[in-house]
Amino acid sequence: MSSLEIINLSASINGTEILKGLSLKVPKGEVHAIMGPNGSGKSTLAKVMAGHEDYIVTDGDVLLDGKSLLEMDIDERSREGLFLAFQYPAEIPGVSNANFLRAARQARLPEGEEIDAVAFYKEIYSKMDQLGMDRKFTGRSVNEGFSGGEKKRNEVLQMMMLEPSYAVLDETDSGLDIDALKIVAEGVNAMRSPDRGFLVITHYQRLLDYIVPDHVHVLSDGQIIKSGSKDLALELEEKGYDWLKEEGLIKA
Amino acid sequence: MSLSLLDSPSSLNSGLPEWYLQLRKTAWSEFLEIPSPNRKDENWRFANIKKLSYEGVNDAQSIDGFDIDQHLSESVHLNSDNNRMIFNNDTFLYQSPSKDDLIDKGFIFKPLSQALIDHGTLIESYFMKEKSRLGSQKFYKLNQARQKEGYFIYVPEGLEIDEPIEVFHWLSGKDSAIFPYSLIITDKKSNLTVAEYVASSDDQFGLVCGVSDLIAEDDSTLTYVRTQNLSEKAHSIQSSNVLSHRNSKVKNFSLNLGCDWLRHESISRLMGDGASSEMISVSVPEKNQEFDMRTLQLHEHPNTSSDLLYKNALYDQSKTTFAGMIKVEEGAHQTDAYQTCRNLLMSDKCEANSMPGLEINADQVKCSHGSTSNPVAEEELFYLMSRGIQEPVSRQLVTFGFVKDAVDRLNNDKLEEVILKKLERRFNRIGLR
Repeated sequence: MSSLEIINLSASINGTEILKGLSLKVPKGEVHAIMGPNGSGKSTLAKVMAGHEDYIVTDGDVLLDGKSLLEMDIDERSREGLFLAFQYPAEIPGVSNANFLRAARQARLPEGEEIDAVAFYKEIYSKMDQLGMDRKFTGRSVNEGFSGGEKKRNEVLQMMMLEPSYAVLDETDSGLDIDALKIVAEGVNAMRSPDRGFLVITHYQRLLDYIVPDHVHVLSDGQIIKSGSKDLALELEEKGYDWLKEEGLIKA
Repeated sequence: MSLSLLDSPSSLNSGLPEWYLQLRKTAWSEFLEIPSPNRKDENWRFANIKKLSYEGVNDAQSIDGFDIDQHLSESVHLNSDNNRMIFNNDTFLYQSPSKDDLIDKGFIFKPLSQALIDHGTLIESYFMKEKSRLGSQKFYKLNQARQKEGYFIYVPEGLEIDEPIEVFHWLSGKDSAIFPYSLIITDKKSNLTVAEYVASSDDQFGLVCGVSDLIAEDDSTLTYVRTQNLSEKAHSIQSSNVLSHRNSKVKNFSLNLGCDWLRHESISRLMGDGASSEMISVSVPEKNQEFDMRTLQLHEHPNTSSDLLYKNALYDQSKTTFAGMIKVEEGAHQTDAYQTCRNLLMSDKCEANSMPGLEINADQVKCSHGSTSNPVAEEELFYLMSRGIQEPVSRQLVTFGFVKDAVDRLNNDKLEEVILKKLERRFNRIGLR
């Protein structure tokens, strides 16, 4: 029951099928990595789980601790405990980071209850310190004018503030230099807990040096074609995705 | 006795300068001669001419029901020590005591009726010299002919006034019309910020037909903020003229919330080397409100810059019209002029008309103009909702951010706070959609 379970998931966009019966189970307390070549459906999987309306689910289900996510609205999925760290986070002009996160926290409170503003700021500042983010980012508009690395740190900050049961990180390493990558990975590692599962989507093995996964899956053409331990990532790094082609796992 | 705006204006107290009384008289005959606006006129395209019928509208009188004490206590948004002036129905109510050291330096802040008596010659050289260029000639003259009160601010050379001056105009009573006039002059190397708040004290129909002349002399800085929160039934016709001289910096910010119908015309003339003018406007119309805004950025001299940003968030069946013109006159080389109108469509029944315009008669000019009309962007909504924020709350956040982005341009924390508070109240009243 305590898992994020993707069952035989198929999804399409504009009539093109991208996910073709994908199955995967991330139990709480584990970190799973999905690797795959460009166009294999990695980002589609993340967006479908979060509920992006451009994608149509044609078959299968996604269960969060046994409850179907696909039945829920986008915001409900988040409140239920799912978090997606975006590959390309949106910019929201005029909405400060602090107000944005306050609204997200407020949405989790019962009606009539208000956020304790002092405690909130104390918390956000300590988490920003941990991520090496300047405190002035609380007053800046969400992601507007942020560098690639600042955006990714901001994603991790949101994850730390919202404390999801399951976090999906979509190419969180892209756009990060090695120092930023280490800081972001530290943030993620600090969140690892028996009560939380992670699905780390990445093209490169590099991130997995810092966020060491329990399991690695290879996604190709909308399906998981191979699963293994963390060593699978190293093997992929060494041999490239072509190696799987030679194995006959990827259609040439 | 019921008066009408088509009856001759009543005569004013004696003691006013002869030139002023003469102009007033001439203005009345000009008002009568100028034909009413016609939709065939380019300046009145998309305009709802039907709204311009003012039968039964009278010069505002003092109203029994107006609670002076209550409105005096409400008429302070910043520090109560700041220079402040309060009017009801074109009648002067109160002025905070000006500091002696400012007066000694030559600073003037007086109700128009008094200023005309005390500083007639100074006022004469600036008073309503501008042509009405964007269509409202008739109402510009009507203001001049029926003018009764307003205020005059003069900041002498070199004086910098840090704390914003606040002016409150309250309109009350059914079918009341007021004709306020604002004349603000910042002399060389001076600095001033003025916030003017126009509001109704009740929910009646009334008319504000106002004119403001803002003159920034060489090397001076003038920031002028006007918020309009009249009743839902009121009408407003406002002409604003900015004269920006050498190296002066003018910021003209306008917030419009109230009114059943309004027409605002705003002109910035760039008249000397290094002159710059920013024109910013925020409107949040709902229900059947109609806001009609026309602007002109007139570059008359080389090396000048202007930047216009008009933002409208439209709800329900509301309607906005924006017609903006950048005109770079012959010889006004090295002009930088920008014009942007953004409309956020919060319903599928609202209507935003944009007519950006550009006329360039000089070389080496950087100009851009553009307008957009969109609903809340799906990607922004998806992002906010993916953090658990309910859809209507997400919409409101984006909308508030959309207008705040323009308010931020003021670069004045205290005034931004005043304006954001008014906007917050507005969005709370509109509620989550």
